[in-house]
Parts: sequence; structure tokens; C-alpha cells
Amino acid sequence: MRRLVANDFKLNAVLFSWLFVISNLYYLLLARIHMLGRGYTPGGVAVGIAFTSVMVLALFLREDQNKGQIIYRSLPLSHAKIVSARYISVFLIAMANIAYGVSIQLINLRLGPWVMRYGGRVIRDVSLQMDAGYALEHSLIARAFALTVVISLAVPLIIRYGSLWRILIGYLVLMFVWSMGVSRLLRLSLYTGFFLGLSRWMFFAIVSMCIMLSISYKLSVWLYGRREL
Amino acid sequence: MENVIEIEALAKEYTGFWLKDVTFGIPKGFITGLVGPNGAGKTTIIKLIMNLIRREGGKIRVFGLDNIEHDVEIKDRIGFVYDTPYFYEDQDLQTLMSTIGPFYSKWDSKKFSSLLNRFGLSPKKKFMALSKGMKTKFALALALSHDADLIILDEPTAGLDPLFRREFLDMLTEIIQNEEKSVLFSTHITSDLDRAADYTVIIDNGEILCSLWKDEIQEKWGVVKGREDFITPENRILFKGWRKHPHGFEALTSDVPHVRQLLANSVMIEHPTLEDLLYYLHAGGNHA
Repeated sequence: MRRLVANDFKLNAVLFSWLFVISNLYYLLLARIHMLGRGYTPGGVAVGIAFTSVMVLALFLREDQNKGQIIYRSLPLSHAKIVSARYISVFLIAMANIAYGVSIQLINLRLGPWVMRYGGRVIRDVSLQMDAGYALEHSLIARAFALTVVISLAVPLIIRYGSLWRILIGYLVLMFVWSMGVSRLLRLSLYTGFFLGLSRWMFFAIVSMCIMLSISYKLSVWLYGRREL
Repeated sequence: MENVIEIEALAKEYTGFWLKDVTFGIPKGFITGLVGPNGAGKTTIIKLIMNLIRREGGKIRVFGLDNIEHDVEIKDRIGFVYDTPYFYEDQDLQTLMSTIGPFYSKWDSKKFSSLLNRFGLSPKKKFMALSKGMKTKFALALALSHDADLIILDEPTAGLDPLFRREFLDMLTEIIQNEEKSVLFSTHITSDLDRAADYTVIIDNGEILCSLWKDEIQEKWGVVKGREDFITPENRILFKGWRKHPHGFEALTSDVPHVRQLLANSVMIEHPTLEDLLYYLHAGGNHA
């Protein structure tokens, strides 16, 4: 399975590098032209998730274009291994991008004031509060929850029905739902945290995410065997 | 005789096409040709053997094991060449080898490199820069580099030049020399099978028409040529298929001794090619 995950990164290394550069430039441009709202800089986690969505989209599209499923299905590999590798690759891409986003945010926090003093205009000061009016914990729970829901739904569907147009349309639909869903999840997190207490709510949210992912994984393995290539 | 693949009552339905109760075996230690016109069901059978699509009925046993329950174990012993070789197009052959080869337990990198060399392929070349024939050569090199007990080739000769085609057929003959390895080779180019196949399975419209040994074809089957008035209703039962032409008739028989006994002096009997067999057995055999 480690080899399968390594293959995902090896075969897509050039594409991921390009996407990384383009996504960075895109976010710099958005901040520069105040597309995200004057004075607003996206939080590190949000940037990481945005980068992740593009890279995961590219991973599945490229696999579809190069008939990766046929290649792997012809090899002596169990369906469970192939599907597990998919989830691990997605998880690693997400973690790497979120870690990058957060570290850039931390660097900004440290260097921002210093850079600003010497005329820096692109890097802006950011606060630890990701969403105005919400504690950082709620922002993180809402995004982690939303990301888990998206992965849990998208991976089985791509594995069973994935093709160029379906993946692209699905991506656009998910982005739309994401933009609507995160604010609702934030409110839900705030109220639930208020009633249950933050630590109990976090525990409940983490357990729910684990259950969702394990159901999604089982479903993906089953659907993988049913896909006709 | 031991069979490396045993297929029993196999069924699969697509819109407008279905495999009907397909039953046949692939003998161990021989080259078996699966021949039929386009759309006959050759690729479907191979995909079912490789567990790439789901069967709707029947059984497939490879090396004596069920092909779904023992999927991984079976695929480790199979070298597979698909009709259109699929790999990551923008990668070079060396990278593709390193991403695919090690999944096989008996992977031999040296053998792979020597095969690339033999086929005139540079490991630094990108897959997208190869012609269809060269892509097939690369797929073949991968299939032959892990000491597979069974090589399955789906229409492999379609994009190959005549020189390499001959070399390729000789290679298949080399593979089966130790009698432990077997080859299943689907094609609609019957001349390839005339040259290489020991055993032939003829399929048309999702049905197995017949399975024959090479010797059997030579001994029992024949193309009968004679005057048109010999195609009487009584004589027609002697033939599997027939056609009339301005100078008489041609027909295929599976019982040459009997036909010779009945019509000895009035007809000419020739050894059939696989193309003759396919032609006369296709569509019920009547090409009048």
C-alpha cells in the first residue's frame, strides 16, 4: 500500500508542483486585488483546504485520463489496498497543504509587522481568528467536519462513477455546497459547543468523522469491485 | 489434460450483446487462440477472466482457483497485455517500470531491461512518444518480466509491424517450451493463429462455436469444393457452412473421411485455414 501511495506522489509530482505554484500566485492575486474583502487574508487552514481540493481533483482526473483504475486492477493488488491508498493519499495531500497554510500564517504573524514596517503590502497581518465572531476551535471543527463529509461522499462516488465530466461537475457542486455549508456548520458548532461543552462537542465531532470515514471506506471498497472497466 | 483456465456457463449481458452460457478450457502448456470477428465477445471474456468486469453467471477457475476469490494470487501469476496499452502517458518507461513492476512477487528488472533492449525501446523515452506498436512492445516487456505462468494477450498484434509480429509469435512459442507456461491470445487476425496457436477457440456473437486442436483441424476439417448441384438438401447436413459461387460451391465439413467416402470423386477437399473456419461458422454458415 505504501508503494501505491508513493506512486500517487511520484506520478503526479510535476502536476502537484505546478498546482502549488499556481494556487499560491492565485491567492496572492486575490489578496492583492481585495477579492476576498478589503483587509481580509484567508486563514492557513482555509488556504490548505483550497489547495487540497485542487490537488485531489487533479489526482482523480489524471487517474481517469490515464486509465489508472485499469492499470491497478490488472495488477496483483486487493481492492481494499487500492482504495486504502486512495484515502491515505487524499489525507496526506490535505495534511501537507493545511500544514503549509498554517505555517505561512504563522510566518505572517511573526514577520508581518516587520515586513509592513518596511513597506510590505502583499503580506498582511492576520489574526488567529479564522472566521469573524467565532473561536478558532469552531472554525477548525466546522472545516474538518465539512472536509470529512466531502471526502466521505466524493471518494466512493468517484471510485464508482468517476469520469472527466462527472468529476468536474461534482467538484463545482461540492464547492458550491462547501461555501454554503461551512457557515451553517460554524453556527451548528457554536450552538452545540454551547450546549454540550466544547471538549465534549469536539470529542463527538471527532468520533462522528471517524465513523463517516470508515463507512465511506467500506462503501468505496464495495463499489470498487462493482465498477466495470 | 490439465487446463490452466476453466470457464463454465459464463454469462454476461450488455445492451445489445450477451455472452451465452460460455464453456471452454484453456490447456496448460500450449498457445491457445481465441478468435472471432469484432464484437464477438473476446475482450469481454478476457476482462471477465481478469476480473475487470462482473460476471452475471457461471464460474471461472484459473490455476484451479476461483478468479474472484483468489484475485491477487492469480494476477501475480498472469502477464497481461491489454488491446490498448494504458499507462501514465507523460512518464518515461523507466518510471513506469518502477511504479508497476515491484507489485509482482517475481519481478525481474534485469529481464525487463533486456527485453526493452531487444525490442529497441529506450527506458528514457516517454510513453506518449511511442507508436501503438511500441506501446504494445512495452506492455509485452512488462508482462514477460515476472515469470508469469499464464500470458493473456488481448489483440496484441493489431498495431505491430510484420517483422516484429513474426518475432513476437516466435517469442510466444519460446515461452511455452517448458510446458509449464501457457498463452491465451485473442485476435481477429487469423493468420497469426495459423502460425502460432496449438489450440483454437472460435467465438461469434457471444457464443463458443467450437474448440479445436491444430491437428484436429488438419485431420477432420476440410473445405469441400464442387459443382453447385451437389448442394442438395440431403448433402447440406454434411456441412457446417457453405456458399455458392458462379462456378459451383464451397463448404466446410468437420468430417472429412465421411465426405470423402460419399462424394469422393466428385469434389475436391482442401485443408481449411482458421479464416475458412471463422467464415463458414459465422452467422449460421449459410453464405449463399
